[in-house]
Amino acid sequence: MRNEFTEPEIKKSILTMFDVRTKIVFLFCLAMMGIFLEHWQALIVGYIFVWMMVIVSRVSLSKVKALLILNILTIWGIMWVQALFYDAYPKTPLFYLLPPRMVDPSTWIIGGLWEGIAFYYEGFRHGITQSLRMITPMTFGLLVFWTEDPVNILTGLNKMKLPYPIAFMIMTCLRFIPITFSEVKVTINSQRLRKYKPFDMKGVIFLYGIYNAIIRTMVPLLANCIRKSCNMAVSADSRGFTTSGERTSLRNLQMKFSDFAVIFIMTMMLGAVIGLKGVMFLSEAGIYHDGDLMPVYWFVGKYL
Amino acid sequence: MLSIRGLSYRYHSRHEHAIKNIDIDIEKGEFVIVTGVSGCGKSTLLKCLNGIIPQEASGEMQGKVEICGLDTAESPINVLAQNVGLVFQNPDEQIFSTRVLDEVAFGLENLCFSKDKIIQRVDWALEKVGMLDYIDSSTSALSGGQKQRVALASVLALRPDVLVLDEPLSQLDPEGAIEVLGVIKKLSDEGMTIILVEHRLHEVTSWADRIIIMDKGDVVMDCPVAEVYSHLKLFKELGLRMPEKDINYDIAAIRKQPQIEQTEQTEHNHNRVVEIRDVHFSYGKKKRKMENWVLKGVNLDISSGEMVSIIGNNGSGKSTLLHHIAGLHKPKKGKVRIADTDTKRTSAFKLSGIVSILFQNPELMLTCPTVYDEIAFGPRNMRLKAQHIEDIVNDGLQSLELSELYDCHPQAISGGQRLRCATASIAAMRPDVLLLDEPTSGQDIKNVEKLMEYCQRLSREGMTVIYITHDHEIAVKYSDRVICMENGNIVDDINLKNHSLNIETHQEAI
Repeated sequence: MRNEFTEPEIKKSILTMFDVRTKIVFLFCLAMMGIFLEHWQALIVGYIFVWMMVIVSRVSLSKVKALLILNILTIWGIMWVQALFYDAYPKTPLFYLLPPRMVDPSTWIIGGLWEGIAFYYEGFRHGITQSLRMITPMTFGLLVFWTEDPVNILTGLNKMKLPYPIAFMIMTCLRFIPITFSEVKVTINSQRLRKYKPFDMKGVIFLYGIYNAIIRTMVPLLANCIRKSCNMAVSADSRGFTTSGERTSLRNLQMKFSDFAVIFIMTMMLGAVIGLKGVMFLSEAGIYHDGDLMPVYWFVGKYL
Repeated sequence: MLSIRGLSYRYHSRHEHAIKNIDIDIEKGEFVIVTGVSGCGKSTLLKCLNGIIPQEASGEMQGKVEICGLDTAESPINVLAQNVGLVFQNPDEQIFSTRVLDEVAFGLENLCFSKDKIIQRVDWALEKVGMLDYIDSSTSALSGGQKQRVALASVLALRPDVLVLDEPLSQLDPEGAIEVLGVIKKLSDEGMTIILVEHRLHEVTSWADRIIIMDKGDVVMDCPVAEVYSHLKLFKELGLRMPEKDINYDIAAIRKQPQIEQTEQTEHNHNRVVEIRDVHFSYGKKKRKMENWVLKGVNLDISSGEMVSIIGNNGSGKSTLLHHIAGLHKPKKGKVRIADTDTKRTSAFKLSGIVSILFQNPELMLTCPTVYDEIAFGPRNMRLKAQHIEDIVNDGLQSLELSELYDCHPQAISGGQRLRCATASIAAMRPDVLLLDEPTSGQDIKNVEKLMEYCQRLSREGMTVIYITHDHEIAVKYSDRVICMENGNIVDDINLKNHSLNIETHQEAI
């Protein structure tokens, strides 16, 4: 079975002009900025930029649709979860599921619900921030995977000093994703065709249905994986694969001026963000404060 | 070239030796077939040839294996890799890269060849197997035969002196098998030593110079192919495939027989359980992709209690047709009716119990903790009475010789036993139609015969059995009808009822 979501599309676009290492550095910088930036306004700039890359990369419409659905579900889910479980102050309730003071604070176990259960405005904002932190590098990572030959990714990771056995394992995993998908489908179909219905009301409520369904799917998959891995190990051994020692590479990766320029800009931006956040931290912690830096404090506090 | 002296090997967790005191000498350029029933020690012997045993295994080895003067116990595996190339049964388990070029270059990169040398060797190896035009193709876009040829090229690129192939034909249709055998024969003629492990002796014997038979870890026969016909009794005793094609079961010859009729499709067949009318199918979802029809107007009627085999090359639409009968695919044009139910109007899961299917990879179907539970799985889900379930399961266990394994984990038994267990588990639902997708691939003839005899019994009891196979002899021997598919359509529908009677009469006369 060929699964188009697990196979790259190598089409000429702005993204294919860059070396795979540039994309990996870019991805790393995006992930790091996601950690340091706290305001959704700053994060959304990065997110929009990544989506512009998706549009110019010429990946197929079905992949764009899949990415869009993944993004929306992630943002939507995290926003609502954070809005419900937001536990910092101040918090502004938007609407209540359980009104305040319905439960007496002294009640055993559920006394903590005396404030009521509500969806909070600050929780929604926090949810947007958290989801953007997660989906920006995830979207770009998928884009790299969809527009780059896995062997180039392997060579790039190897050139970036990732040990070859680890890079090899990553590449083999990528190659086996579509095969695993089709195996899951066969296992589930074979169960359903024998009238197996684990998700009846009782099975779902008492969780045993879900547990049984997972075990019944995982056992044949893992057993098959182990058999396959043993055969693959013998096959790799017999073609001179070793976990230590030198090897040559057929593919040569060449960094161009544009690659260096992108890496320079991204690392500078990341450095600037870390530096500015550091200055702000020193001020807030009372370690170092300079009045001349007030515009910087204002900018970092409001936008970063 | 290759010398094995007093070779014995015992696996770490086993009491008995997998191979015992083997002595074999093979000359440069010889084409040797090694055969024997499953578990006779063939695979262990192969692993000894390139040093995986003893260097990567923890068992106990005695004796000596020398290849081109190198002791396999002492020379590093990556050095031996340049002398002995190993090609395995399943190409999907030996292809690591996503592109043909990278796959063939993999071994050369591991052995630190220069870029120029790699390119030169890759081109040479791909040309040898006739795959040079696919150098930039994605490996997942190749057919089974093409994948096996790429796997062969990736080993050939190392230019080994000895090429060892472990059942390389088991996944291939006859056309693909001839392609691969042609390449191997050419290499042998050019001076490469070939060791081929295979069950399909009737297809490969004529290509080889010598045949070695193993049984319970011993070599029980080692003779030139020309002398093999004086040892046919041994083949029969060991339950091996006969090394020559049986003209009684040759499809091409049967087609020419005047008494063999094409099955007629009539509208008024009251016994009909499968009705397929003008079925077109494409895997594309969009209208513009509909031109790539996998099925192109298939018409077929199958009656209750018939045993039908479907043959044809890879990609001819056999599995797609079988999935239509199971209701897993719905026709884009035309209709499929199973036991008077239109598959378009119901789901495959509602048809379960009426139709059961054995997928190509039966181990993925085994989900229960014991063989007994596995066979009882379907009947229990159908909420049959406990006594009835016990009767059905015991029947399955006995008929398919699984009784001793009833409390074993189905994933821990041998490949042939797993296949039989999966078949018993779907047949236990006593469906009207039993579908088997390539149950003969990679199995020795004993396993295949056990399975086919069980299916024949079910068919006599009124169950319709439809199976796909690349093994034409099995198709003729165990079917009432053979359906030949080509390029998405049925090109032949041979009624064999007369033929079976002919063979029986002929054999009685003998």
